[in-house]
Amino acid sequence: MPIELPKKSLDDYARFVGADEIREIRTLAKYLHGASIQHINSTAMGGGVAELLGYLIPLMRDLGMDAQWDVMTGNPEFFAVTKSFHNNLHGGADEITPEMYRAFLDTTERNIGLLRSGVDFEAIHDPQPVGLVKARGGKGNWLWRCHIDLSEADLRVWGFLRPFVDRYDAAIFHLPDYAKELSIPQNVVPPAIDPMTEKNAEMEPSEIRSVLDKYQIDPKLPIVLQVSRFDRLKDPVGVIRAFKLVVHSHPCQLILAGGGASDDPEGERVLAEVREAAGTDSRIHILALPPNAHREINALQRGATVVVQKSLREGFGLVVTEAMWKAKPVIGGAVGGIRRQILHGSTGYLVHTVEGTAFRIRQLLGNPELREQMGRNAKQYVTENFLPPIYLKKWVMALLSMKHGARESVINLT
Amino acid sequence: MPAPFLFQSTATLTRYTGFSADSARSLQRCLARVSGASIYYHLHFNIFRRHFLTSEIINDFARWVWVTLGDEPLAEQLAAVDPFEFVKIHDARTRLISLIGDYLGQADYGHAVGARQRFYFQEGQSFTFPTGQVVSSADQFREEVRKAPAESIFYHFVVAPLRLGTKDNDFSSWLSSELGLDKAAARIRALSPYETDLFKLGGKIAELL
Repeated sequence: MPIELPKKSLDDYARFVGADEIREIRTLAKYLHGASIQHINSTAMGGGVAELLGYLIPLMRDLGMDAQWDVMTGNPEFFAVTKSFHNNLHGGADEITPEMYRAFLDTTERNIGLLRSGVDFEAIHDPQPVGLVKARGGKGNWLWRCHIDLSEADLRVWGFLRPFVDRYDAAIFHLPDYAKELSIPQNVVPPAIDPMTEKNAEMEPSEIRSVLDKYQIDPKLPIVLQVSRFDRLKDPVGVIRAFKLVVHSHPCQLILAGGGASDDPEGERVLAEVREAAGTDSRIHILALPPNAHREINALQRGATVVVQKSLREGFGLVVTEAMWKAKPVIGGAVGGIRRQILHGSTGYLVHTVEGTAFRIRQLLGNPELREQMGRNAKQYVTENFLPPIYLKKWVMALLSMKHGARESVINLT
Repeated sequence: MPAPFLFQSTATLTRYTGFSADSARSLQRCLARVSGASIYYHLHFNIFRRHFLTSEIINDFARWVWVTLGDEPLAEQLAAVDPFEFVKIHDARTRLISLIGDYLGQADYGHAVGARQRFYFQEGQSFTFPTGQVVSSADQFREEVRKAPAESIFYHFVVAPLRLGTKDNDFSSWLSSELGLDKAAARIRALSPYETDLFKLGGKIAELL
């Protein structure tokens, strides 16, 4: 099923990353002009992968590439299988039966017709369509883009998938921490946030103020914010404990804002624990927001004084990127992608404990200049590393790498 | 007629090497085994990723030992390693290995971190390409070096000494050999990208000419 996408121009991002950077990307992309690339994943709607492809593909077209996006199809049984695979690749222990492997292979077989003949590059996203590589012909380079953390993958599932992965020419992971030992080059390309979406677009102070008013948040009192779903791995109760260590000496308020928990029994339990931990303290605001409350989250992040992401385990943590983009210093748990984003002492602080979190909140609340400097650094770091043009540039390089020799350390383009 | 100077630029794709360390001892062991490209990447590329911190820039090894291992004395020693001192990666590798070895002494075991806190060795695959800027005189050079992208300055100023195997950079080398501007070449040679934001170095070079 081919996906239609609106046009985008890379030049529209010049105001964020500068005209020089755009020129560099266009120069580099000249060496791919006219190349065809087919992206295949398993969903057109929802989730980070669809969001990334939503801007990557139009930008590739803007660079003169023939970029297409197709979505594989499968029955509910197949997606139940891939859900179990997904769980186990994340360290879970779902039962995997021989019938499940068979269902995976049958669906792979049925989707082979999706492959466009004669394309220069096949970009296959995540494990669901990984088996399509069995149909690769002589022409074209194959790239596997893995968006998930494989570091604790169940050996049975990984043992089943790995022979497919080894047939690709290269792989891309968000972080080196997510990679496995493979026989093919493993490129590292972190994800990006789009500054032109509702989540991240500039906002008038009046709109920020009206969102704060809506939730009865005092705009004059410093705001400590954590945005995350209500999940124990995000340690919202730990954030409340840190807040309570701080608030008696530094008057402030805490906002814990996250997605609604109505369809998630575990989330409901955690939300109840969070409410119990907050007690009757009117300075703690617990906001269970709908999944599409992008502008409200944007306003809360822009209205915050200090942002916290005290995760005990984290993927890349794009919510940290979003806060940094809004020039906020972030205090984050020293895990996953948070470690890659927060330059300790320069764009925020990495912490390990409730007490450490409290100490850093206090330090930042008491130092407006430090906050501003760190916020500036944070925004610049995101500008140069985690915006769509940079993401696109790395994709261009990953494709050039396969075209010119993935194992060369220097490639001279003339 | 002097040979013209052709500005090149570079872009780098990062990849995982398969090596990771969880302690100072395993960092040392990996340093002996990883590619030269990986050591080069971790010594030099922070100048790009963190260029706006200028004087606070330290190499990736020192940063990990400081922030994650929490071993400040070792981090201080690793941070003092000047990447510009070496024109061969082999020499940098030897220095880092011996520095950690001297610090740890004969101890077999030191503090280790969990799987999610390891140091992951990466390396860069570089793509070089012409920017389209070509100059034949000092005036033209001054004008174009101001406009050159940071990646181009990085290529000619930071990468060049290793590429050439001397302690020189492309700019000084060309100004001296083609235009006979030895004094200007020496002033530029004395610049350090660790003292000036890499993104402002082009302007600084133009001023020194």
